[in-house]
Amino acid sequence: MKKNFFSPKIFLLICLIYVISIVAINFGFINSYWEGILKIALINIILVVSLNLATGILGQLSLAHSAFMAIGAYTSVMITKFFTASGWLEFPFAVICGGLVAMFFAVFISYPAMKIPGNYLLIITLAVNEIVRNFIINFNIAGGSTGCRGIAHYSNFSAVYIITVLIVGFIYLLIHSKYGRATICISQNEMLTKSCGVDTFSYKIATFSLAAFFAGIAGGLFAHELLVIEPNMFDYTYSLELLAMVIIGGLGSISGSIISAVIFTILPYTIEFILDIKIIIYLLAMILVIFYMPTGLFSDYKAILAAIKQRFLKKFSRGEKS
Amino acid sequence: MNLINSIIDSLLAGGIYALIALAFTLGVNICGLINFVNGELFVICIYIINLCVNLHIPFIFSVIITMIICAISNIALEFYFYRPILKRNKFHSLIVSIGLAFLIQNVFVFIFGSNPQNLSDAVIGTLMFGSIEIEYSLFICFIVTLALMFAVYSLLKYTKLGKMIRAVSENSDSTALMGINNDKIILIVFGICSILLTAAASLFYMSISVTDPYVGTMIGLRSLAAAIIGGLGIISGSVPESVIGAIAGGFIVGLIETLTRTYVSTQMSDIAIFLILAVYLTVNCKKYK
Repeated sequence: MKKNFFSPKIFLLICLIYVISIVAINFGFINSYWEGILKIALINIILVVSLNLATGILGQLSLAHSAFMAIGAYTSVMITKFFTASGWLEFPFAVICGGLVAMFFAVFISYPAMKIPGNYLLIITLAVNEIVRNFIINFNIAGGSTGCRGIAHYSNFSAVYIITVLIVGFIYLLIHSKYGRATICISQNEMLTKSCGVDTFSYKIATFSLAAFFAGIAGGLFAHELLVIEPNMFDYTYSLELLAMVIIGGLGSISGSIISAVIFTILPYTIEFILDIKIIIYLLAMILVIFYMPTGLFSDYKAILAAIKQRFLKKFSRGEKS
Repeated sequence: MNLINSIIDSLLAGGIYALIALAFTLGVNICGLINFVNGELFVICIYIINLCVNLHIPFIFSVIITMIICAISNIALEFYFYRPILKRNKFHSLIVSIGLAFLIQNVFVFIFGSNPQNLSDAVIGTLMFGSIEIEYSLFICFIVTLALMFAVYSLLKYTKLGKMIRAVSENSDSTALMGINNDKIILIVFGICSILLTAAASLFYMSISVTDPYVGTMIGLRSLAAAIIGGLGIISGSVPESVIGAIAGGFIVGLIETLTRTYVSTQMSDIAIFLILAVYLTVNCKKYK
């Protein structure tokens, strides 16, 4: 289903959510605990949508997203902490630098893996995740295993919200352009796309690196939100959770990823007892969704809205009858 | 002499990686699916052998019991999880494979806890070859690996079952037309993989005294790198030669890991293996097409 991103309805919806959230936060309806959770939900939206770009649109499974996030986080923290730079420009510069470093790293690791048809990227990304984490611990980067504290609190809600909207909008425009259509063709049948004159190798590396760039930006926002980071936050378990969110939301569907990211970020904080077995539930849900609903649970939001409306109308009309 | 000692010490790790790499290679050849559960089944086999030995069952019998349990689990996994997905969509089968692997690991950690376990020493003692001292367990490891390699190689090359496995690996549609039961052959190959995994687990058990549930990930990953370096059956073109490739890849990865750990540092051994894998993939990309 194709909805025009620049349609007045979507624009109004985005502004409405923003205004409601800002009012709720500033007037104390949402306390700072839930404000933090909302910001993490927005950061997860960026991560899940960019992972969907790499997995659903490009068709290359990647478990390195938390490694890219770690690279973005640590780079941006090093820039804000150790460079005594000027005022408000420091934060965007640090975040974008984090994204760029993650992007270059992604080019470096995807170059060997993308040359070969087949899904060898999964193995390399799983290894990369472990290697990045061990690298940060062993080379004592920004505190090593004890973590990095005292990060300046630069991410307020407006900044995170605007960056999320920009990134999701960019990815939407990307998918619905000539470039995105070529990438979808590559995921379906690479040899056929190559015979049509598309340089599949460059497309694959470029799309994967773009996804890593957004993951790095999300990492920078994450670090300046949590104010304390340590390398064990960025292990492969987090990558698996992101992959589960992508698949449950629906491969290739942006609205599905947004809904599943929000639900799966807020859910563990409302149901406290699942925090221990969170990863087991996510993986089980992922496998069940792949088996029984491979297009994802939340990918067709119009059908879900229609079903809710139908049930609501049914209840309403039944009430009238009786 | 330090170099020779390192090379001999690498035979243990190389043997374990070789056997699991062979399991990966057979799985990829027969149904085109990288079976990530191999790494986790390896760890579960270690724990089951430990349990059986703690119940005072002799070592050989506990290995046989573990082989039976591992074979049943691997076959059940293939039957219930991989078969329906492979028939539908190969991309989803990779997701199911990696999801199952980490699901099994996390359920295992949840039930049994992640504390390191002490494994009782099943075999101790050293052999002397002139001035070089080789541990008895290393020697057994090397012999067992080579024996299993020859066994699987001759199974694939000289028996009728091996011929059927080779046929199904090459073209499963034609073999179905010729009257071979593809599903049964795939189940048999998964059984052979589980025998290899149990052998690797018993070698690990004999030589290493402490374990925890998380070793499966790294060992599985390195064995997969070893399998890719060995060619995964794509470079050699035929299934029996891929056996030799997988075993060779396993010993190469063991060698790289031990040499890097001795001469550079422990942290670089992880990076070294995957750097070499990346270089290998870049250089050899033509052969994979």
